[in-house]
This record gives sequence, structure tokens and C-alpha cells, in this order.
Amino acid sequence: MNKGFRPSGNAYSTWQLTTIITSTLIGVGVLTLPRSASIALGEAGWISTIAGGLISMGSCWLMARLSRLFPGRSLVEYSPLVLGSSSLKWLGKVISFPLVLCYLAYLYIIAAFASRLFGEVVVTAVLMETPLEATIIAMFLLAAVLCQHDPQVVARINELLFPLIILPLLLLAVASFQKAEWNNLLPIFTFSWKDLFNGVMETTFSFEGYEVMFIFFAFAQGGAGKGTASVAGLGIAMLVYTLIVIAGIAVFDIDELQLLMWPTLELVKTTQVPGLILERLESAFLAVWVVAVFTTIGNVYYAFIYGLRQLLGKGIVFQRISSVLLLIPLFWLALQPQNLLELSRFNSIIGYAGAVFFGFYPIFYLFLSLLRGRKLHRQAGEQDD
Amino acid sequence: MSYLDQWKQKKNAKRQKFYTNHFHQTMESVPDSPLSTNLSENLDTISHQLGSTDDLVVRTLPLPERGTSAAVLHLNGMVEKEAISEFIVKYLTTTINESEQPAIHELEMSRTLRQVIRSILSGNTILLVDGKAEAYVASTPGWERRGVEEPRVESVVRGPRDGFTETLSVNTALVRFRLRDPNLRVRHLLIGERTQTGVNVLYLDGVVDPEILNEVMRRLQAIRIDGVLESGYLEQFIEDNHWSPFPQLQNTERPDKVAANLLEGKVAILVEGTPFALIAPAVFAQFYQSPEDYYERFYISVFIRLIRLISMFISLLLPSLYIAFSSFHPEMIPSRLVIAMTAGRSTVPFPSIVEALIMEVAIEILREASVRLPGPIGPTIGIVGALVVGEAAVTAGLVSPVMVIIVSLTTIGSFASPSYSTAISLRMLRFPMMLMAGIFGLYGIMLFLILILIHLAALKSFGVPYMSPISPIKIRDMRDLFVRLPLVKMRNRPSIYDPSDKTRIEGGQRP
Amino acid sequence: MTRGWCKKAVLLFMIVCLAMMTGCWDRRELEERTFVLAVGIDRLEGKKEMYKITAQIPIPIKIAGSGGQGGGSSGDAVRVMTTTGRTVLDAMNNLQKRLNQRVFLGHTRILAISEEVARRGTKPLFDAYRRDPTMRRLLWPVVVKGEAQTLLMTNPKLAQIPVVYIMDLIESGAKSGSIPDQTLGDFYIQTSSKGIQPFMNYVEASRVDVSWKGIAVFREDRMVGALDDKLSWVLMQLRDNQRGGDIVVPLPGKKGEYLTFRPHFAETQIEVKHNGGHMAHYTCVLQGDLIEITTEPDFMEKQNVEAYQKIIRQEMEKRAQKLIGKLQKEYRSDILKLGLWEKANHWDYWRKHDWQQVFSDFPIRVTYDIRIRRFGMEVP
Repeated sequence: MNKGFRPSGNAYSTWQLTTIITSTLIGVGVLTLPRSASIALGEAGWISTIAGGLISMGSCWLMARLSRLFPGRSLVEYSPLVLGSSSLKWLGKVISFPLVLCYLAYLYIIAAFASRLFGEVVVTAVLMETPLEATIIAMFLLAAVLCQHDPQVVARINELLFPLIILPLLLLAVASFQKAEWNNLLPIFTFSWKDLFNGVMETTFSFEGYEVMFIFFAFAQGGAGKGTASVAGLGIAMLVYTLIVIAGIAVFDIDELQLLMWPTLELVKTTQVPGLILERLESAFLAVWVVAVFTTIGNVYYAFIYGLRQLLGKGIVFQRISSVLLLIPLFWLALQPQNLLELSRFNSIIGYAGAVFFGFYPIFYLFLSLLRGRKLHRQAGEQDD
Repeated sequence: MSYLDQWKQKKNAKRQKFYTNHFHQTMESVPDSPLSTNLSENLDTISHQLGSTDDLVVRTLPLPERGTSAAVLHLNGMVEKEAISEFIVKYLTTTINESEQPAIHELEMSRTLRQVIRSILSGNTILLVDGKAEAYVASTPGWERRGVEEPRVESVVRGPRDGFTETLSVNTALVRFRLRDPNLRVRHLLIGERTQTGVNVLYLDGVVDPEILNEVMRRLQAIRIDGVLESGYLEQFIEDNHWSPFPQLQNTERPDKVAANLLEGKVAILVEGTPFALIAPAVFAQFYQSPEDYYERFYISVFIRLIRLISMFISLLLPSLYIAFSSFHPEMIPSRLVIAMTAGRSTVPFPSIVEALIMEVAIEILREASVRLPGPIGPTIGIVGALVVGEAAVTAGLVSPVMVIIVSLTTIGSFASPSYSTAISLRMLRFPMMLMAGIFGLYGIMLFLILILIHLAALKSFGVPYMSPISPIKIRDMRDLFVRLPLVKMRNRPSIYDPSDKTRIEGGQRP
Repeated sequence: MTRGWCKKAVLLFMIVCLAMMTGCWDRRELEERTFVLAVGIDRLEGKKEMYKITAQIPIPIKIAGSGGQGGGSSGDAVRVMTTTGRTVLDAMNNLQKRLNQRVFLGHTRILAISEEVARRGTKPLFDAYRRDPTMRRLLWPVVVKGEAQTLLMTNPKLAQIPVVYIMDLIESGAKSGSIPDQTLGDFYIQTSSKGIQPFMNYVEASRVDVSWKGIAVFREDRMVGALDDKLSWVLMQLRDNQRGGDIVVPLPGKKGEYLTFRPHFAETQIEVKHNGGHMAHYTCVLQGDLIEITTEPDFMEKQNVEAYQKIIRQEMEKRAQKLIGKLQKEYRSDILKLGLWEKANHWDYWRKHDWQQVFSDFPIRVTYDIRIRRFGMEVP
């Protein structure tokens, strides 16, 4: 095995960055999305996904902008540069350490709760006798296998699985339009600004996960458009989400929607594909949905492990071993919420915290680095030499 | 330098030492000393180096006209005897004129002992003349060889019928015959300390990416092994990942396939003594692409390729899907069918996973047995065995009728693959897939598929990602992926192999 | 070197884990499940607070062509079992006690409830089914005249499994547009929606016969009455643009003579006026064939078509009037979807009024426009 051969193929292309963003976003949240989107806004629930998408797009674009100042570096690497000065390098490290640690902890918790939610769905909807633990462990092991590889593999697996994530959702949305009652979508403009704000906050959970780009933007190719990727990636996710929400509201009406635990799954149940050999596709849909969940948990966990590795300045061996060892606390964390209601409460806390925190992060860093301007670049250049 | 690196270095040094000690008896041990001028002394040394083996034929010829004597040496059975008696012996005994050369196609001079020994072992004839410190080496290899025949494994409906043989020179010529390009280069290597197997590396200069070529050459030259009896030996040495179930080099016995791949900018490795050539780098597309795709017209080849894709999925997934549907998700089977299936299963004493495993293993045994059975009986036994055993098993209530259909479809599906080694890798993966389906149902199938995909995403063949051009995505190369556009539209060579010359068809051609 | 080693270790760990879990928790073979094809819900005679559940279960080896032992002729292909319980689920569990394998509701295609149960409200019945992930949303709930049990007990003889017969009856009717395709999922949605009221298909069964009788109208979750087939078709035309069944119209002035019109397309437009008094105006265009006239009509040849159209129109408008009257005054249930339409298009009005109250007095006018396209193989 010759590892150093052809390193040029190892950087992420724009398309790969896009697929990473989209497939990280689309995950467990998509099953509850039509309900959570229509809680506050009612018939116009799809507006909240668009608004939420636009806000996240802005935040992600700022991340890309920030990353362009430090090509080839992740948040973990440039954070001490921004916060310290050339004379006081240790100061940067000391200040940035808790901030970066916060960020990593956030990723870790997302991974844990996403896997728990995933386990809950599988156990309530298809494998009713299988212990929750078994489904979660199986998913964790896959994530650990992913962590054994180079960052390039993450990009490629996302690229490979991307159609498997998007196509079923698009098909579902289009197929369920035949059962749709379009009057359910009207009237549109009956909400206040406060409703809109609440609606956006409800959907934050569905849009969390693009924060991994703090790490993954570092691997972008020289010519790769990070800004384009963040707009495209969030745009695709927003489009899919909006279609799903529209389909959900049009088929179910908002009153019924509020009673359904997994509206998207019920959407599959009400949709019949004519001329197919198989009858009820919800198990098949869930099986394909596993792919979407894997890309979420896998990417987030990989970003966490990679960030940790950079924070501690360790190599790939550390990454491989720690990815396995850190599964144990992750597993414990995933099992903490008692039931779905508690889990969704935790989730919304994490979602709010994340939204505020990481909406603020890029702005904060960008502001600081622009303020310090040229001096910083010289410093970064020195480090490169 | 970390402790780890030190340890690695130490280990490498140790390994190097081991190999140098180990091969002390082989060709390396033959002294590279010059020949002496004394004929009998030379004969003694050669015979000693070959351990006075009994198949060494030494014919001493006194040449009174020239006032000297000569000796002709060769190994019994490896040379064309007529050529020797006709040209060399006749030449020596009749010709007076020194400047006239014997009428032998290739005649070289050797000055060292090692060269002489190697020549004898390769089926050449050595002519030693007393008083001269050099030997004439006449190329007279003439052992029994198979003629060019139709390939046994890779047969096509439309396309050339010739296949490689066991002779390296013939194989190289078969490729040359198709590519009369002055840029077709052949690099000859000898691999195998004991077998000294000739290996020809073929490539199109100016088309192939020099980086890939150098990597292939580097890996081939690094091989230290006692014997190479088949190209598979080399394959297992130069592949990127030994633990992968997927073949990372393509093998073929079709010269047209080799030529086509050379034109795409790949490297071919021909090995003495086997009709199977290796092609590097290989990507996942080899699972369902065949040279025939380019011979047939557009629609036909697209259709056939799609059929192969479907059969690939069937051979990998069908039994596991059956297990998942019947024992985990019966709601997915249409109501009428599910009742019929239940009736069929009502006498079966095993769970469907065991049933499927038994049947799949049985069919693998049948397949293997029919390969071993002598020619004409093989297929018959296969069909009869499958039919009779299947029918009997159903009647006895051991297996459900649907299972028999599933197993037959799976087996047929796996044989639709254009290459044997790819088909067998999918057939192998079917078994863990069935186990996963038996544990988690569809969810398990999906987990295992993701696992396979992670592996595929990480896999590289000579620096080319295995899943390219799907990942990393190359839109231009998609013209020849699942479907293939009409040949006129496929203007460029696949960019995944990074060819130096990118264009292959001039644009804007119209009849 | 280390790389391969580590990966292998993880894989090995994974395999060992999977093996240790001794998996297959959910594995349940086909023969280890009892497929319940239909469920019937009744009140227990005498003890009205108890439910009586009837389940129809196929006997696989008796089904012809199943590859079992011959099958077919000997005896019934299904078994009908009845249990009681305080709730639907309780009764189901009681049924489980009598069965060797686990009950599996994933293939339940018909959910029959007796009229009596329906009139008491369906919410308590369906909650368990709504929570059960194996339950289909695309099954057909029906209200049975009399006891729900009778529907499950029938044996129409034309199909081996009676439920399949009933299923096909509804399915082919739904396909041709003469029976509303009302699934359980639709019923759920209509029950929880504020702008629309639910309905179910209404069937009657005897020992060897099943027939579709029309629609059972619900208010909230309680059945309030039934519409016969003629009114149901009008409803389908106005509500879903479905064609409904053949319209048989008595020829005016000729006793015992009829004309039959088969609609092929129905297209309804709703117009709601809010300026000066509210009013909903339905305009339904019916296109179709004249397929039967039992006697020569009286009118001149030239105007034939117009005259036929007029007769049919008058008949349809009469039926529509009757339907609206029943829905508004008698049942006070908006299964017409008018409320949904109001809410979507006249939000201000909807917000200020309680539709449940307003509906029964909301003026509704229906106009039909009949267009005869073809006359079959005979000149009219």
C-alpha cells in the first residue's frame, strides 16, 4: 500500500462540499418536519422552512467566507490565530480552547441525539422487538468505520449516497401530490411576525448540522467555491424540505398533521405507487432513510473526531482509536432521554443553543479577523513556513 | 522521527535481510563471471551450475576444418530441434567462410555465465566455440504450445474470436496486431526468482498517464517471490488493498479488450505461461462493462448494460431481500401473494434465513462441481442437479417454492456478469448480506450496503478512486457509465485515468 | 500497516458484537404470523359497553394454487373468529389468547364497523389502530348495516377469500368512479380536520351476498345517517369530480319507460359569493353517453339531444337538491368539503363564523350541465 501516491485527488471539490452540506442536514429531522414546520405557521408552514433555510444559508456562507481567509485550515486551527497575536501565541490558544471545545461538544451531542431519534423511529415503526441499543450500536459502528479513513473518504461517501438521500424524498413529495388537497395550503398570509419567528425556531433542528463545515471547509480544493457550495447545499436541502412540508400539509391538513408523530412516514403510508410489486413502502423508505441518518451521524461524528485530533495535535492513529473509544460515552449520552418527548425537548434546547451560538460564531471570528486584517495574514503565513 | 517510524524502519530492514538470505540458491547465485576461452572448462561450469541435469543436451562437434571444436547446448524438449540440426549443426559442419552467419532468426552473443544459463533455461540454444570467451545464443524456443483459440470464460456474441494463449510473444503479438501504433511500448521484466517468468508491460506512450505507468512499474519491480505461475500472483502483489473483496485489477483473455483499455490510457500486464492479462487501473465499472458494449449499436448496448446492472443487484441482494420481506416486513408483500407464500412455507422446518443459506450454499456447490466436471457433462449435471434437487426439496417440503425461484434467479443473475472474478466477489458478499438481513431486516441490508460503499469509497486502484467517475464525480465520463452514448459522441478518453492525450474522436463527424 | 490492522480490529469487533447480540429479535416467519384480513367491530348483544370483535383469518394451505396440499375444495378457506373485550385492543388480546401465532394486522384490508358502533362514535375505536405502525392507512373502513359480523361471515363463493371479494368490489368500484375511494387515512384526516366532515362506505351483507348501499355520513366521529347510491354519486360528482354511476331517469309522460345516462367525466366548479348574503354555487358539467332508452320518445328529431339533456339535468338537479337538503338540515354535516373551500378562499368569513353552525343555513345552489357525447351503436 502506497499512501502518498497521487495526493492531488484528495481535496474536496465544490460538488463534494455541496453534498456534504446537504446530506448532513437531511437526516432524522425530515420525518417530523411537516409537523414542526406547521406548528406555528399553520397552512403556511413551508414558509418557515424557506426562512430557516435562508438564515442557515447566510450563516453557512459566513463560515465559507471565514474559511477563505484561512485556506486549508479548520476552525480548530485558525481559532488560536484569530484570538492570539504573534507575540502572545499562548493567549490565543488559551482563549480558543474552551470555544473550540464547546463547538466539539455541540457536535458530539448532535450525533448522540440524532442517533437516539433514529433508534426511536426504527424501534417504533419497523423493528418493534429489537432493542433500541442494538439499532444505535449498529449505526455507531458504521460511523466508527467511517472514522478509520481519510477525510477524502467522507467526501466520496457523501457524494455516492447523495442521490439515495435526495431521490426518495423528491419521489415521495411528487407521488403524494396525487393525494393532495390543495385547498389545505390556503390561506397563506394569516401569520404574524412572531409566528414566523417561532416557526423558524421550530425548524432549526432540521437545519442543524451544517456546522460541520467549520472542519470540512478546510479540505476544499484551491479552486473550489465554498460560498457556492454553502448556497447550493443549503438550497437543495431547503428545496427538499419545502416540498416535503408542502406535501405533508396538502395531504394531511394541519389539524391531522399535529396528531402524527412521524408525518413523513405517514405520507409514505398514504401514497400508493401503482404497478409496483411491493405494497407498503414505509419499511423500504425507512431503510433508505437510514442512509440519510448515516450521513448525518457519520459526518458529524467524523467532524468531531477530526476536530479533536487537530485540537490535541494528534495523528490518524489517534483518530482511529479514539473514534472507537468515544463511542461509549456517546452511547451513554444517546440513552439519556427517557422518551421521545424528553428527547425532543433536549433537541430543541440544543437546537436553540446551536442556532444562537453558531450563528454568532462565524460573525464573531469574521469580525475579529477582519479587524486584525493584514497582521493576521502575516502571522498565518509565518506559521505555514 | 517518532518511535513508530523507527519501528517501521527496523522491520523493513529485517524483511530485506530475510529476502536476501532466502533467495541465495536462485539465479542470483549464479556468478556473473565471464566465460573462459577453454571449451571443456565452460561446459563443466555450465553443467555444474545446472547440477548436471539429465535433460541438458550437449553435443560436441569437432571442427577439423577450422582447427577447433564447438559444442551445442540446449534443454531437451524446449527447443525446435529442426532449427538446430538444420541451421547450426549444418552451418558449423559445412561452412568454411567465417563471416557467414548461421540462418537463425535471432542470434546474440553472450559473455557471462549468468546470461548463458538464463538463455539455456529460456529454451535457447548455446553454441560454444573452443578458444572464444563468448557464446552464440540462438533463439530456438520450440516447446509444445496451444494455438490461438476462442476464449473460454469471456465469450461474446459479437466480436473477435481469438483469445490469449500461454505464450508471451504470441500474446504480445495479438495486441500489436490490433494496435499498429509506433507508440505502443512493451517493457519486458523477469519476475520470480526461480521461475524467471517473462512479464510484458504494455502501454501507449503519449496516452497513458506516466504517473500510473511508473507506479505499475515500481510495484512490479518491487516483487520478490520465488515463482509466478499465473498473472494472479502478480495481481495479488500489486493490488492496493489485499483485504478488499473487490478485484482492483481487471483480468481478461481477450486481446481486443486489452487493446481497448490501452487506448483508454491504461496499462496492460501480460505474463508468460497464462492466457490471462492484467489491466490496471481498474474501477467499479468493470462489474458490468464488456468490450462487446462498444461493438453493438447504441440502443442494444445500453439495453444489455442495464440488464447487467439489474442482474448485478439481483445477484447481490435478492436472497437477502427475500429474507427481509418474508420474515421482517411481510406487510410489503401483496396480500394475495403473502398467503400463497405462507402456504408454501408451512411445511418448511427452518426459518427463511437458514433456508436461504442452505439453498445458496447448495447452488454454489453445484456451480463449483460443474466447473470441475469434464467438459460435456458439466453443464448437464448443473442443470439436472439444480432441477432435480430443487424439485425434490420442494416436494419433500424442505424448501418453499419461492425460495427455489429466488436462488435460481440469483445464480443466473451472477452469471450475467461479464467477468468471472467480479461476479464471484458479489456472490461472496451475498452471504454476509443475508446474515445482516436475518438480524435487522431491510435495515440490516442497508447497513451492510453502506459498509460496502464506505469501503468502495476508500478503495483506490493505482491512485484512481474505485468508484470514479461516480465519486469523485466526472460528468464528462458519465457518457460511458451506466449507459453509453453513441460512439461519435464519446469524444474524449475517460478523464479518470488522466490520459496525456485526451481526444479520441474528432468532433463534428457526419456520414 | 497500522491502518489495515486498525480497520480489521473494528470490523472484527463489529462482527463479534453482532454475533453476541444473537439477533433476530424481530424475525418472525410468515407461518409464525396470523394474518388478519378483516376486522369487524360490534357492540356485544346484551352488554352494550363491551365490544365484540370479529376477525377473518385465511387458512393458507386451503388456498388453491398455493403449492400446499392440493387445497381448494375441502372446506372454507378462511376462519372467522369472534371475541369480546372492553376496548378494541382488549378484544384483540383476547383473540390472541386463542391463537397459536401472533396476530398480524399489516394485511388487514377491511375494517367493518356496525352502524350501531358508528353512531356511538369512532374515536375510541380507532385510537389503538392509529398508534399501531403495522396498520395500513390505505385499508377500507366500511359501515355495515346491522351487525359488522355479517360482512365477515358472508361467503360470496366467487372468490376463495371473502375479504378479497369485498376488497375487489370496492377497489373496482373506486377505479371506475362509482364507489368513493374512502380509505382509513382519509377518514382520519376528515375526522380531525375542522373544515370537513368524514364519511364511510355503507354496505349490507347477507349470508352469500355483499352489496354497496351508499355512504354513511358522520358528524365529528359519529355516524348521523346514510345516503343512498344515487345521492352518493351526486356527492362524488360535486366533491371529487368523480363520475358516479349510471343515471336512470324516467321518461316524462311515459310510465315505466326509462332512459339511462352514463357519465364519463364530471367537472365541478364552486363559486362563493359574499357580497350581500352568502351563497355557494356549484356548477357541475357531466359528459357522457346515452346508453339505454326503453321506448321512442315523443319529441322531434332535431331537438332530441337537447331534450334528453334537459330531462337528465332536471333529474340531477332534483337529486342534488335532495342531497343538500339532507346534509344541511337532517345531518348537519359538511361532507361536501365546502368548509375547506371557505377556509382556503374566504379566510375572513371563516375566522368570524363557526362553520359547524353556519353550514346548515348556508345557501347552496347546484346547477348541472349535461353533455351527451355518444349514443352507442344505435342511432337515437
